Amino acid sequence: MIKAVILIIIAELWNAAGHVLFTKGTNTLPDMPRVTVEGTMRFFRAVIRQRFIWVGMITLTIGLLIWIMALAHADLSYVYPIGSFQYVVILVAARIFLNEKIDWMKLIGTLLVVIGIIVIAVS
Amino acid sequence: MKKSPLTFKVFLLIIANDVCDAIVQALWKKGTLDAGISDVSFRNVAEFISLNASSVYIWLGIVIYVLNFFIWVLILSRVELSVAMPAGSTTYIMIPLIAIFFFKEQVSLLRWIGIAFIILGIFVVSRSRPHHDPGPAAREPGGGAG
Repeated sequence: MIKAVILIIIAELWNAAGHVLFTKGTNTLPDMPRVTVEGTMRFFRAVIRQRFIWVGMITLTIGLLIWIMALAHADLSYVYPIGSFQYVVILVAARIFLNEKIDWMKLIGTLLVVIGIIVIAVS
Repeated sequence: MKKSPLTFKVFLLIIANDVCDAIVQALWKKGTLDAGISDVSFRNVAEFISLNASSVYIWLGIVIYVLNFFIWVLILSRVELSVAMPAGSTTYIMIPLIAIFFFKEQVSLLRWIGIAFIILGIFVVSRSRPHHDPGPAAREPGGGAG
């Protein structure tokens, strides 16, 4: 069971990195074009040329693999709720990368999620 | 884009997103059960990948997972994350029910209590005033990779 928890934590951290990289890539893209064949082609070419999108997608794919490994290790009703660890990762990532303020509500809510995770992990 | 309050249409989209997420996780679990390797280590990781990569359930899950991501982006283009997030927590109830009925898992009272804490936590987080919209990438659909 502990191995499943470790895999879930690695998967969530890995995914957060993937999303940051992916967003870094999509942020540099031109605005979505009008729906014409030429405009769509140009948009897709921009997507393909953006290195961060590729790196992000590869990272997310590896994250998916780690998540499926976690699912193999333990019950679905055990692994999935512990996956809510993503809220903790998002809170920290939003603070560091997006300079978001962490107010009391966010802190208390995330703490409740952590309590839930610990209760399930020991169940 | 101007964001509107939760309409019935968007609510249906969120429920569809939740149901799809639950189905994806169930398909992946089914795939790994069929593959038959529950303890993955460096020794058998290649075997794990090749067995799971030949599972229809795993691939069907991945397809729905990707489609579900677009539904999630669509939802976030209509409502604030603080509205979408708690409405999206029904998956935490659906998953244990699926686990009980389809995988014959024992879900203890303690596990339900833990899930209740998580859902409560998500509601409390969503009640905080948004300082900055982190955008659709901030929370992926699905618990983990998912």
